[in-house]
Amino acid sequence: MWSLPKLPIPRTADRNRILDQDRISDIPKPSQDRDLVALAKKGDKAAFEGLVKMYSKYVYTTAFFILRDSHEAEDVSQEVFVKVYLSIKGFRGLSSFKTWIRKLTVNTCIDKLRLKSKHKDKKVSLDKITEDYEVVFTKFSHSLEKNFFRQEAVKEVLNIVVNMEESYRIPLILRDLQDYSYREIADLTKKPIGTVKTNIHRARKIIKERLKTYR
Amino acid sequence: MNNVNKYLKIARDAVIKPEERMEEKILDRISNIDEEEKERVLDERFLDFLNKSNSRTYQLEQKIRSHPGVSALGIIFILGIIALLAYIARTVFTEE
Repeated sequence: MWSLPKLPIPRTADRNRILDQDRISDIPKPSQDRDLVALAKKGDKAAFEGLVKMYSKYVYTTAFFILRDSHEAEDVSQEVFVKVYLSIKGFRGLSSFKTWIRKLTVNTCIDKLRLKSKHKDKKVSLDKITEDYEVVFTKFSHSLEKNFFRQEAVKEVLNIVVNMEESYRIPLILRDLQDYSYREIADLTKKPIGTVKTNIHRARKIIKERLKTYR
Repeated sequence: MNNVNKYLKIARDAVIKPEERMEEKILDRISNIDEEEKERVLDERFLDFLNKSNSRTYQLEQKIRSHPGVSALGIIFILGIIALLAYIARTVFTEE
């Protein structure tokens, strides 16, 4: 068992400089974080803050699509980074850091959903999401007009996904947005692999039908 | 369905804009972790996740389970190479 890092994190000038940057960066590429991860493993707090800056929106977005609630997504985001902070020294790098944090986020969200389903009426998950959310695209093409219509269509697709019932939404998000294999989704959701494939197919069909009525 | 797949692919690059100061809240929470939270966070499920993510054997097993067709082809190919080498070795020793 690895030793835990010392706490707390002091408010350094580097930290404030990093937090003051407003620019939304691209989705992090694995090669960009390698140095930060190596430094964070040695206990470099500024490097860890850099990882928070790099991945917080990504973690939040993943959590939001699964949980459909901004407060819960924020809570999960905090919990994920707490877990990362407490365990990063033991991270061996068999997968990329992005993959690792993605899986950690999904696992944390699934655990939260399981806890919720024990305490709440399952019909709640069928309600439409009522809170507003803003979708931001991190990659832009040169054709602005084409880009605009495509982005609007993607926003509508995401809106349809977020309002789907859990049995369709979760497998679709894991497969098409998070690149999980059917086997991984079946293991995570504790459903047969056939059911997972059927639900994903149905979810895509729902999106296609609702996009037609949208136009 | 092609358009749906295309839009979902683009959606991978979309992020939801979080509330202001989310990063600061994360760092504040990390600064204030107490023993109770450590125990709650470092539960059995998380430790199991950590062990699996750091295990080469488990990662390989997952890859084989996720791609059974490719794995089977790979095993057949390796067995074929071994059989070929065995045949060549047998032929060479028989000639001698």
